[in-house]
Amino acid sequence: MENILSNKKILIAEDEPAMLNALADKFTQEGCVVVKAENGEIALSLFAKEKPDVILLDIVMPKVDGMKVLHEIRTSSDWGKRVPIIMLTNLSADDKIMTGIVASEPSYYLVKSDWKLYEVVEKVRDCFRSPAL
Amino acid sequence: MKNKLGAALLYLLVAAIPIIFVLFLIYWDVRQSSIENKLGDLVTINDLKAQIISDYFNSIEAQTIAHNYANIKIDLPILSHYSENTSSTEYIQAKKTLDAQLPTWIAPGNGIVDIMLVNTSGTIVYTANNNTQEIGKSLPDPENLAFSKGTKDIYTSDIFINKERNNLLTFFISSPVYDSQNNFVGVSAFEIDASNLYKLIENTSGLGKTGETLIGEIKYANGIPDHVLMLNPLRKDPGAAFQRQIPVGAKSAQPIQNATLGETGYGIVPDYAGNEVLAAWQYLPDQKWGLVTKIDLSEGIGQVNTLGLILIVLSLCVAIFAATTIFLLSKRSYDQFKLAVDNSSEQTSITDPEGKILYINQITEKITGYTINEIIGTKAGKLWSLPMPPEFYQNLWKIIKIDKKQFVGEIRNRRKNGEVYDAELKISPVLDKSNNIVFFVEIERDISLEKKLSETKNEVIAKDEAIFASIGDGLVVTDKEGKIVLVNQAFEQLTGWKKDESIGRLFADIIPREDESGNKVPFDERILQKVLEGKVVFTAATTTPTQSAVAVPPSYFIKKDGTKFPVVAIVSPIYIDGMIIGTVEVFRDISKEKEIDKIKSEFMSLASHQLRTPPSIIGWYAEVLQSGDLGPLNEKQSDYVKEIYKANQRMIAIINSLLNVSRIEAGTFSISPKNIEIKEIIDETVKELESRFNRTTELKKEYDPSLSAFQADPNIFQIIIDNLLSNAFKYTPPQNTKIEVAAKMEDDSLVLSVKDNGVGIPLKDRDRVFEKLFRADNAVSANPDGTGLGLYMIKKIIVNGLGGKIWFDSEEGKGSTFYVSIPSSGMKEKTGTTVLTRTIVR
Repeated sequence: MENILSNKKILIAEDEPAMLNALADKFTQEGCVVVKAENGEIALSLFAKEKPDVILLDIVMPKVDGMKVLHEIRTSSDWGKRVPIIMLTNLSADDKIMTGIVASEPSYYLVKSDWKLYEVVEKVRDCFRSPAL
Repeated sequence: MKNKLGAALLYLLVAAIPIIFVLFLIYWDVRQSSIENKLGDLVTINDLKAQIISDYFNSIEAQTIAHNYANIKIDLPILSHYSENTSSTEYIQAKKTLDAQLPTWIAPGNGIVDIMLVNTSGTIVYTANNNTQEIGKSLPDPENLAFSKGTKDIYTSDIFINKERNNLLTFFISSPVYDSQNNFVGVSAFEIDASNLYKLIENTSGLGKTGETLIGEIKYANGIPDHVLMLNPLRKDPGAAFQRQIPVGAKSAQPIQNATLGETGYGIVPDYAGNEVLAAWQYLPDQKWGLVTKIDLSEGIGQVNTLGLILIVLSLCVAIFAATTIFLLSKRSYDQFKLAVDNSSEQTSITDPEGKILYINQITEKITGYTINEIIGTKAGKLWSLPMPPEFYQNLWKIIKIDKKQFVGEIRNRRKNGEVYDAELKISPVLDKSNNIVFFVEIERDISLEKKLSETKNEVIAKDEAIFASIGDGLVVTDKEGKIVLVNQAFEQLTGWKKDESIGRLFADIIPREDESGNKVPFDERILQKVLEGKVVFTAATTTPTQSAVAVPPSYFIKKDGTKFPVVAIVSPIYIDGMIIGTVEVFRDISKEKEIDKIKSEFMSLASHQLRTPPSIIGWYAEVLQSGDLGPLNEKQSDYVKEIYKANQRMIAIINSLLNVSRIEAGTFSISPKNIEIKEIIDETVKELESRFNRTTELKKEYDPSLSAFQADPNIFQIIIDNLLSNAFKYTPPQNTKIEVAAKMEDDSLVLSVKDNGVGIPLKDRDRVFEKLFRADNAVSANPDGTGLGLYMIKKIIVNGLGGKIWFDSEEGKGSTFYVSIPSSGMKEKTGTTVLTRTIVR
């Protein structure tokens, strides 16, 4: 089976090193080109520089939080409008910050503690599958 | 008694006035007409007298003129001629002839006292009385006009007092004498005794005791009228004739003045004695006399006065009769008061105007302890009233005696047995028709009980007010139109509106309300308005006032200064006899709670984030290890990693459960019902659980055929089903798991049941299975992974959030059946700040 993730450039923004590493390792293993960002600020500059195919975006991050990053990306460029972004968080669904996400991009919201790593990979893979399939 | 007499006299006066008035009118009328009559009489008499006088003089004059014919014509010239020679034959012959005739004319009957013949030069040449002394002299009339006037015409002299004749009142009638050739030869002078005239004049027949006729003539001084000389003796002044003078213009003797001055008339005038008289007067031109006929007024109207006296007596009789009648009548009305006093339920007495008790009712004995006999005759209140300040009595007497108004006041009394009590005192004066106080009616009422009650009531009111003031929450009471009738201090502080500014205004007007999104709550949408308009419908079970209170959704009140604050409020209708008469709204500023909530929810989100991060990392790393991506694990290692993973999942589940529990306990979770397919949710959940517990179960599902789409929040519904089913899995032996799931519509509810063949619940623990964190012993041993939160949580959700029920049947060692009922109407929409999350970890 063709690996649709191979050579896909993935930007992972996550301030928790252990999580960042786990995710980076997993997606490297899946054949992705992983770009790591330890906070929102780095994430934004890397996004502009690297033009990733997909973004995993943590919400609670120092400097610039994920919500802001999301907003910046979505309003920055044509690419920014189209790029699949999966929000990762350990916030609860009722957290105030979440209400915006749930409303705008409900399918791209994952609670880290509820999702196994391979499920996250599957979710990312979904982004590249043709809707027809 | 003195008083009664006074009253009687008063009645007498009152009754006499109109009667006397009427009688006086009659009297006056009679008097006037009587006077008129009398005056008419007097005029007639006066005229008659005038006629008599005229006749008298005419007759006298006729005699004297007649006498001129005869021998006088012949003999007078002879006597005149021979007057110096009285011894001549001619003289003697002539005198003889005259003596034979003239003296015979002198007779008392005709009043002639003497006849004098006077020669042409005025000397008396003959007297019929043969009074030789007169011969040679002039006629003796005081005015000395008898001769001179008599030479031309017949002349009547004034009456004068003839001293020569013993003060006889006489007058002369003189007339010229002509001889046969009609030559003037002398004057004949008849001296007439005026007595006859006076007799005629003084005849008082028809003039009673005081009436008389009088004559007078005017005397001149320097050509102007000076005084009136009275010519005849008067009844009240016999020596008046020729003596009494009345100065012209004097106040007295007016009729004679009027008459002598030429006036004819009649009226009531003062006479010469200064008395009021009825008089008629006229002027006699022949004599130049004034003639007056008069009678004293008192005699003139004497009969009228008698009539007046009769009338006065009569009127007094009538007045006395009337007074007696009225007095008797008034005495009767006093009796009627007695009846009223007897029947009064209060202590009631009648006192005289001085306050002495005349009559008092029986009830007084009971109230005061004194007998009626002891009381009657004493001054009101003397026996039992405790002294009051002097001003009290001054005021009391002023009101009842001077103002003649009712007095109402409070006094303190002491019963005969010494007991002191408060009494209300009412004293009303009873007035007669002329507004005099006849007596007082005094009512006393024991008000000690009322006072006590009112004090208690005031205490209650004060207490109520104190309670209202102490309520920290804003309190506003409105009438049925929504207008404010009462607010408390907290209301003032919270809204900025003062009590005085707000009372009487619409609550909705002064305090606009906003919902949580900042939109104005329309007037009609306000709960208070809905409550008033009956739009909030209460079920039969909640019609009592306390139960019909309606919680107002969280909203904001706009203060007077335009700022706003969040409130929770409860509006209760106020019922009287089943009618809403107003509302009570209690509201609380929840700014602090909101703040705390915010802090709490921030903490919760932080906690949930922070707490979940480590297990997330552990989970992923264990997953990677387990997957063998980092190299194969031996069996033991794999088992260990699996245990790590399981424990980690449990930790996540506990964290999620705790978060849910705190949300449930706070009641802040929202419910968003949708049409859900119960069957599908149950099927999906079972499938999930089978894979998770990695066992195949003998599962029996029983769905009511009438079961269709149900209104429920899918998330919450799933949490319930998750919990019930996962418990069934957890506490059932892995082998031979038999689970029966049923969903039925029963009456008004959807009843879910989950039956297992597991460990069951020990009898001793059945009361505690819904307790937080409680786990039965056999449950712990059957499944150490439990949190002790599942049943607690779903009971809270079902009972508190959905209005449903949860219960179970169980037998230890054989299994349990858990039942959940949810009202068939489904879950009700509820807005909240949090959502519940599934606790089951994938």
